[in-house]
Amino acid sequence: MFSRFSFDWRMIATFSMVIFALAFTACGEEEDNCPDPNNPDCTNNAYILTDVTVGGTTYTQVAGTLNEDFTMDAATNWMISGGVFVASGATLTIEAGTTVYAADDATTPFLAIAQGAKINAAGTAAEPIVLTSIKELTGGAAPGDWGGIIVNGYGVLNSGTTAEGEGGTGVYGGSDNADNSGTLSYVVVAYAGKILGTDNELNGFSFNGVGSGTQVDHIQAYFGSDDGIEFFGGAVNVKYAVSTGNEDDSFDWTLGWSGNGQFWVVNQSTGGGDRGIEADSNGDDNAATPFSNPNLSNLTLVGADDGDGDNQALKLREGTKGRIHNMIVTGFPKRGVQVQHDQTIANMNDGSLVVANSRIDNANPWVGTASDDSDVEVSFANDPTNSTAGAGLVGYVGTVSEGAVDPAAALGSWFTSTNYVGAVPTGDDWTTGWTK
Amino acid sequence: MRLTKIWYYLILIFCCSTAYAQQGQVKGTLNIEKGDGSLEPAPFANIIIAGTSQGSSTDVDGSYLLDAPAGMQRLVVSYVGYDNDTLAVNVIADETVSLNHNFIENAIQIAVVDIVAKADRENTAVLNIERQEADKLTQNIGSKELSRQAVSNAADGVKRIAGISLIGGRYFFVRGLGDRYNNATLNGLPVASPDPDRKVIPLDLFPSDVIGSLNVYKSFSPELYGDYAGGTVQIRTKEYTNDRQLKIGTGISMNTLTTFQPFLSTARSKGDFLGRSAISKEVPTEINDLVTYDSRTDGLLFDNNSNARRINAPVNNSFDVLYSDFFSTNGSTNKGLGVLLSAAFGNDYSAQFGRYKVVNKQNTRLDYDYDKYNYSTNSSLLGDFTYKFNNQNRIRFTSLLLNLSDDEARDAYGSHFDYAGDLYSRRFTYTESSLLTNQLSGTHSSSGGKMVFNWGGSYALANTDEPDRRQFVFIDTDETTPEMVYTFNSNDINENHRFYSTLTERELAGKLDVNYHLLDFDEEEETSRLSLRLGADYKSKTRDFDYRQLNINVKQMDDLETFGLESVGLNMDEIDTYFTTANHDAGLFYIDERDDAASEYQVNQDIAAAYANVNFDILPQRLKLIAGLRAEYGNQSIEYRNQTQPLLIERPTIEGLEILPALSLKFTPNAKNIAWLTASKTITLPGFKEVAQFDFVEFFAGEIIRGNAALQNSSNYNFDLRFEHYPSNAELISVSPFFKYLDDPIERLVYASSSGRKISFVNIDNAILAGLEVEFRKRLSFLSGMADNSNWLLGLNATYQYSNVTIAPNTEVNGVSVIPTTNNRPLQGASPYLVNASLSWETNNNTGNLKSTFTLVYGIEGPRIRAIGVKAQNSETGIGDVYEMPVHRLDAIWRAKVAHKIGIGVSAKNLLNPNFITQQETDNGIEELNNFTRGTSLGLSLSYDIF
Repeated sequence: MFSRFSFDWRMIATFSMVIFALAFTACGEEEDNCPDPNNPDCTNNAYILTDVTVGGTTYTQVAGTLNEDFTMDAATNWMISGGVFVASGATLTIEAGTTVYAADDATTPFLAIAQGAKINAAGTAAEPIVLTSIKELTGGAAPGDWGGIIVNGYGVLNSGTTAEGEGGTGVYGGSDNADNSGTLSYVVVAYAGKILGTDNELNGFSFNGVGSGTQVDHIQAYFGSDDGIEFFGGAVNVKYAVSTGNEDDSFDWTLGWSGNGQFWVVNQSTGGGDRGIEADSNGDDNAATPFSNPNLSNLTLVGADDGDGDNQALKLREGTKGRIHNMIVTGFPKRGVQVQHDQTIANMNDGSLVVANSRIDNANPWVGTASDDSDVEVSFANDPTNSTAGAGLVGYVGTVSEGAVDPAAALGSWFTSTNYVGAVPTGDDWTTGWTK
Repeated sequence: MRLTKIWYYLILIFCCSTAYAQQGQVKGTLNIEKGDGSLEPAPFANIIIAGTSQGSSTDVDGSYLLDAPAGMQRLVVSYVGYDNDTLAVNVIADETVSLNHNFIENAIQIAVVDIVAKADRENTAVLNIERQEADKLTQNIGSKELSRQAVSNAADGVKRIAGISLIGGRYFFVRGLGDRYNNATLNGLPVASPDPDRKVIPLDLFPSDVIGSLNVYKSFSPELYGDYAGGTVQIRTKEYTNDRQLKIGTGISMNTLTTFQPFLSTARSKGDFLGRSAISKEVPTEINDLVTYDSRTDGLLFDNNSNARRINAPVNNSFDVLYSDFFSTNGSTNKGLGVLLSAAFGNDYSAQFGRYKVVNKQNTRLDYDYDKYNYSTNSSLLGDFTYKFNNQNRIRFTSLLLNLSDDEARDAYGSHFDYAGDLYSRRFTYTESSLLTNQLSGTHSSSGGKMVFNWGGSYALANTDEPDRRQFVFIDTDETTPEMVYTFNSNDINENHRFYSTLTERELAGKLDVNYHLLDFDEEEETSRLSLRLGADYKSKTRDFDYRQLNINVKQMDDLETFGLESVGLNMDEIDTYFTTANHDAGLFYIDERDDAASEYQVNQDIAAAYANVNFDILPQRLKLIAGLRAEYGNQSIEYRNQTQPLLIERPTIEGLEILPALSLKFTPNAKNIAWLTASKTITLPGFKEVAQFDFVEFFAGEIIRGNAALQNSSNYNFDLRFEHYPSNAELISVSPFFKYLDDPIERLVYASSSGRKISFVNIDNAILAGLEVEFRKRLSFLSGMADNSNWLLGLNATYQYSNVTIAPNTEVNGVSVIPTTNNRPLQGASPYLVNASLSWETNNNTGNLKSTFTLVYGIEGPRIRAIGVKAQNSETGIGDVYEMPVHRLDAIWRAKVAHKIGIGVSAKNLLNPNFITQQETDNGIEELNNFTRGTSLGLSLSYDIF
């Protein structure tokens, strides 16, 4: 029969038309019914509020992107699920005394303030704002339960003009180191720092290109599985900060952070921890400009041995600059202050990296390591204002006056004038009442 | 079924019985007809009775005498460097009949490659004709040439074609354009790919045993899919031969680096040897039923299977069998069923000892040595059935099943910038890929061939499983001593894990094509002054991917005192002893699931097109204009959950209609010379995952990649010139300059991130590509045909190319700055020069019973960018791009055919055993990032032609 096959143009045309008709119906328009998070045609990533009951308590669960001003009042039980973003132009207000719980629902909850958005979280010593894992109520709360607070600003970076935050937490960076992302005052973040992958970890507080117009004081990062408080570029200033039991670095800066810090406490736990401060400028190019170059005063770093013997107080590396005064370091099993990599050592030698007026009461107080791993002398060891004598701390409380310098005079008027070394004076423990 | 069998046996008996018929003799002289018409004898040429192994060969005067069964016989005459011819002769019992033949030099013997009748596309000379007759620029390589060069698979084969390079042993680049810019079809129909990270199916999936020929189209023609700029590789599977063949073969091979040397793996399970064991490695069913698994609540549901197995690697094996026949229903070759069945299996043990180093501009960040051991298999089953109704109508059914497996053990050890103690990682990865494709196609022509109608449809199912990847990372507990005392590294919860992934791709495709001769049709030549081709095609592809990662949390088990091992460290080879139920229940470790909302995604792609192509002789037989248009509608989407906001389902979609013109001028001043000029526009679609805005890691410990939903198609403008000279059938000289302008091409770039160097894809400004290809395939007559009865053949192709991409300043991806080292550089993967050469020396002994070929194959690919460097925005210079340095490849192959039946092959591959070096320039000069060798391989193969 096929031998008598003859052409039929109509048949070919019909066949072609059927093919095309199938192709086009497959991609017909679907109804837009937005906002609906389950409708993939919705491009408006708006937020949804759902009532969720956990352990007999009903919570208002927020998921999505807050694209308008939003207030979390102290009277409501709040919960966040997945990444909750505050979109540019919107302000999230969290009232004093509010607790926000991170859901235990196989998402990675975090709170991210986008560039151009603001957070207004002004707690008080009596009524702090707490963001923590819901497991604190249901049991089994552990470091890494959720992702913490991420603030993205328009501050200056030394990598690209803009960059992307860890864990898909948004875009940050720009040219405005005076940018204002709002207020964080008396805010505690607990059990955050979820690790998503290698070099892809969320912290307790991530200050991504945050400008100095942002008010940050009295914050605590409590038992996170990554860093407690991390700075990526920008110039935000932080006064009164406590990093407790965080499993990686207690404080961390990189990509050109050049803000001020005063009254910082590191309180490591034996459960896990790494460095008191990990300070980098740029991991791809140690000479990238602007260098990380913060001014810090009145720090107390209390280390612990978590079993690996590897914890150390300060790792100043990858080209960081900066001035650190009035610091007490004690209890880190491996070493005190390490200056690593040739560029960082050059910064130390030309005076653009300074550790002075400090008590490094620690094993291996001063260590210098060149890029080729050879030992280098650390000039800070010869600074007569530094000492390796003990400071007589009780926990992290206690200061010494010997060798102290007034930071307001040495570093600028942003600093509160003091006459002691250390962060927390005996009899004036500013961490009581609001920290965990 | 039973009837078919009986029919089969009947035919078998019928065919075989002829062998016992009465005998007669054939005698004659075989000559070479020179270009000037003069004749000279063809000494030691072969004459074989078709379908048998019975034959003879000529003496120095070109004369022969042959015993043959009485009746009509077809004799196949062959002479090195010339095409085979088939001659018909009526042999009379007990008599001698005369039959002479001239091999013609400098002329085209087969004037028309009949598209209805089947051409022997495995033969270089036939492919040469096809290339000359084609209405688009094509380059090809047939299975005879593939076996001459001892090519193992299609990837290995295409790299012998001018302008093609191979990266990582499987991904081909055409003129420096990588995966994104290429396409591959199987017998002209699209084929699903089991590779989650690439567009084009990895060509090493196709073993040489199933390949009839490989064609590469480097210029666009409207009947081809418009999504390419480099080349479309057309793999043609083997087809039946008119003469019955049954051939079995086996081979062994050894590698100096691997064979009989220590080899690491895990315990083998059932099916591992054949590469069919993915099912036995799947997630335990109890866990499969759980959305998220946590051993603390669900119990430890895993078997332990991560101890090391250390052996000495045995030799590699291969087996193959091929059967081909034609069952005539009317006694002639123009009606009946042609059948080809082929099965092949091969395995390979290989080892690699290299370095993995990552540097920044001033310092070393990671510096690991690695030892990698792979056991891989490749199996294929091919069934090809062609039914010829007559010379005008045929239909063909092809079914191909391929299976590829790779069982890898990889140790990496050395320093990490963030850890004081050295790290040691061990990873066992098993991947199994399969492809099943079924194709049905037909060709029908009106009597005389004035109109030819082609149709085809296919359904392909591709699958890749990576079940139960196991990784463990250890850290030296005391960096102050040179002895390594390793414990578990518990710093990163994702490092110790078991990982499962599965990918399924389905592709349905169909095409219709009609070619109609409108003006001055020449029935003899099947050519005309004006012909019109019209057609439509459609393909629909879906892909489903899903993975699960189960992290083993060892935070409570990293203290060596737990096991009393503080002075010696853990025994990595006996790692199962630590992951016992007792230790689990004592709380020393637990296993829980890594949350990733975007672990699962689905892809849909529908492409429908219609095309028209006109073929017009401006000057009859001399100057041809080929002009056409393709209208291609595409709709491509990927659907996944938002990684940070899992309630949202995202579906970036690229949709649109593209009009793609193609224009060629073909000038044929005489039968030996052709000049081409072509111009066309094509498009390049983004890869499926390249538009998905979620983080993924292409391979473990690789860079984090995040797609870009703003990606658009890029447009490619292609211009080619080519001058071809055909001195004789199997000979060729060609010169091809080319130029391409890529508008908004998609480049893989690094962007600024808190997580180190992250990769995404972005439409950059433009790229240009220009170059020159030269091909030379020549019989060296000054060396050939001398007293030693030998024949020398030289094949050479060389490509020089220049490429430059331009990235506009302040280019962003997803609102984030890209930070390339330079904004102008060559295309990634583009070597400035490529050279392939082969020199063959063929000899025949006096009786024709021993025919041997010795071939030397050489290749080199110039330095090329493997990954791009980064630069901090305010720095003068950045870290240089990562370059793969050139290596010289030299293989020697000797093949012999004894008594027309026994094939012997001896190969020595990678004789120079060069160092493969990857390097990057930093402030410290040139940093060597990797350096390894592949070892020299020796192979022996045997085959026997039963028929």
